[in-house]
Amino acid sequence: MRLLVLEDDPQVARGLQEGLTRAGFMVDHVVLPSAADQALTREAFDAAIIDLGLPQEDGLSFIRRMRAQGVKVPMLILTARDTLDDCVTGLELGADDYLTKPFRLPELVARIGALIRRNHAHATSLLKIGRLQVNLATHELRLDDDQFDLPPRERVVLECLMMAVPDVVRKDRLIQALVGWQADLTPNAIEVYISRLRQKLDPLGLGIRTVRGIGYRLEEARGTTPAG
Amino acid sequence: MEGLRHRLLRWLLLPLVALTAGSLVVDYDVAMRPANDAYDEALSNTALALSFYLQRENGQAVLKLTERADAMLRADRLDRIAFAVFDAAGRRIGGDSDLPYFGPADRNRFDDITLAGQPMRVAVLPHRLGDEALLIEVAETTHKRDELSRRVTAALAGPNLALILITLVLVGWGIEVGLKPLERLRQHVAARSAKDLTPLPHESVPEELQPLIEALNRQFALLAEALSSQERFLADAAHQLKTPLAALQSQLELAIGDADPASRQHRLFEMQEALHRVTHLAHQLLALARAEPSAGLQAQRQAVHLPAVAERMAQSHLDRAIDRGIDLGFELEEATVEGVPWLLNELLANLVDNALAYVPTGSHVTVRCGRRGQRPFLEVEDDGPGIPSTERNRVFERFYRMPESATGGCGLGLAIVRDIAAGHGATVEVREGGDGQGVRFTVSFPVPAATAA
Repeated sequence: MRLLVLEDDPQVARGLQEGLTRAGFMVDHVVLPSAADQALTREAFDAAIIDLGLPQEDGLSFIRRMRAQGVKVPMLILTARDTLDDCVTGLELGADDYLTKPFRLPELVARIGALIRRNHAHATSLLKIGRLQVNLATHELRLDDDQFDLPPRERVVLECLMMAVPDVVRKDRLIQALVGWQADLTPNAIEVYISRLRQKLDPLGLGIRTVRGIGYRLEEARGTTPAG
Repeated sequence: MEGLRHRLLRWLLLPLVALTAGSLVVDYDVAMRPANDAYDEALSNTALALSFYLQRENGQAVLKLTERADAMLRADRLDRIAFAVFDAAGRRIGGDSDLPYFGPADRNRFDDITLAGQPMRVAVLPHRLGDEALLIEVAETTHKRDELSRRVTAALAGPNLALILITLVLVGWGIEVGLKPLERLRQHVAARSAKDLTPLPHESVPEELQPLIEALNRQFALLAEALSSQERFLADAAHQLKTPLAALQSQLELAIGDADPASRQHRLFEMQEALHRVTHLAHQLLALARAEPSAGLQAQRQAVHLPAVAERMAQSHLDRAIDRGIDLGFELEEATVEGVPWLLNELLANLVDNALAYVPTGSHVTVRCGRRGQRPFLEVEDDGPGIPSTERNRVFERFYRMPESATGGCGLGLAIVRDIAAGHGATVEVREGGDGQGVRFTVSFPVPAATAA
């Protein structure tokens, strides 16, 4: 996995480079937007980390320019300006996620991992969480290299959860996904599917956390790095 | 704005001068009228005398004047006298040929005329001779009258001018004396130091200025309070910033010289903890500054869906709750408020942070939103140790931390909650939790305008 880091502060950049390298990424660091521009348009990256407070050109306008040039690499904004406004503007301009400074390395690694995974799934229709992989086009599930069979409704629920990682999926979202299969669905039925899924996923190092009052979240057992 | 002194001078002096000028005109008129009447009377007497020289000859009226009589009628020290007599049809019977006919007249009349470029006064008298109606005119130049007018004017101008001058001086002096207290106050204020916010003295200030002084003193008191609270805040903030920085520095220095890997590792964890405290404090100080009512947030207001705020918070705080072994749950019902989205996120995040920091492992923290009556609300309840009722109001003070609390919080979270709530016209209530356990913070928003209408 190759990352481009556009960051002008040398100390932050050193930390990012070392931390991301240790997490298994290949990291190219540039200081100037013009250099980032050349790298992104000429070479292939899996994701880019863009600092908003840049010399030469504002990070937001850089993102807008890159998207206008058709650069599709997933981008994560790093900013010390933590008003939500800036971040929302960034997302509207084409960034995919944001993190405010100061940040913790594990969180950055998790966000980048999720970003790459989602982008990859979008491009290849293949989404991999831990040892499980789902083909979003054929709805085929695989465990490592073998077929992994589930009843259709449980498969739909699992697919929804896998697509959302690391976010929580609302219960009513799961009900909507299942409406095509079963018209008179009660929230209790969802709980039944979740409980069955838990039993089957537990041995694979995957868990489903209940977020009381909102829904569910698929989690890998603690200690595994999402970036893999 | 123009000075008080100028205003007073202008509005006292302008009417005074106008009044004096008016009185001068009236005085002049009063002095001149009887004199002019007397001169007119003398003129008509000359006309009367002229009438004795009129007689009828062959049924025609004629003026028979001897040279001597003519000279007597025209005798005057200053003025030239002209006269003429006309019949009913305006034909000249006798007298000066340059004096025009000013008739007819049914009684004595006086007119101001101009004859050969000279201003003159003319008396026009109807006169009957037998059964014939004649008109006698006697005119004189106005030298006597002009001379009188000059003398009257001169006599009146002197005293009136003196009156105006004396008034000017008196008014100026009066204003100066009257404004003295104001000047004293100005000097007093000017002599104060910029930081002196003690009340201004009440005594020796005229009663018209008392309300101003009182208003100023109230303002000074508010300013002094704000300033001292600002200074306390800065002192507290500096203390709170320096404490973890000091910890960071000492652990860092020890770690550099520490050869034992286990102890070094321990120091690194300590440093991480100190760093986390500084980071958190920086974030909280910024949030507090941005929640200030003066931060111009009105423009950012929009409809905010409270369940969405709670869900965002779930995504960001779930991992911390899991790490601490706390069950973070939600009971979300529809509610929308008018507000600033990121501030409301900050408000809820602080309430949840607070709960997560103070409750022990195994506790439950529940976030609720919805409507009670018409009012939208946000609520965070826990079943932890709770807050003694004596502390409940103090927890909103900046940098206040509960006695014996061991958490790394900086004591700004609930102050931020209070400020943001106030900025949204909302109230914050602290109560015991549902089963008499723990604590419940409820933020009640005003009824949305659309619903209230």
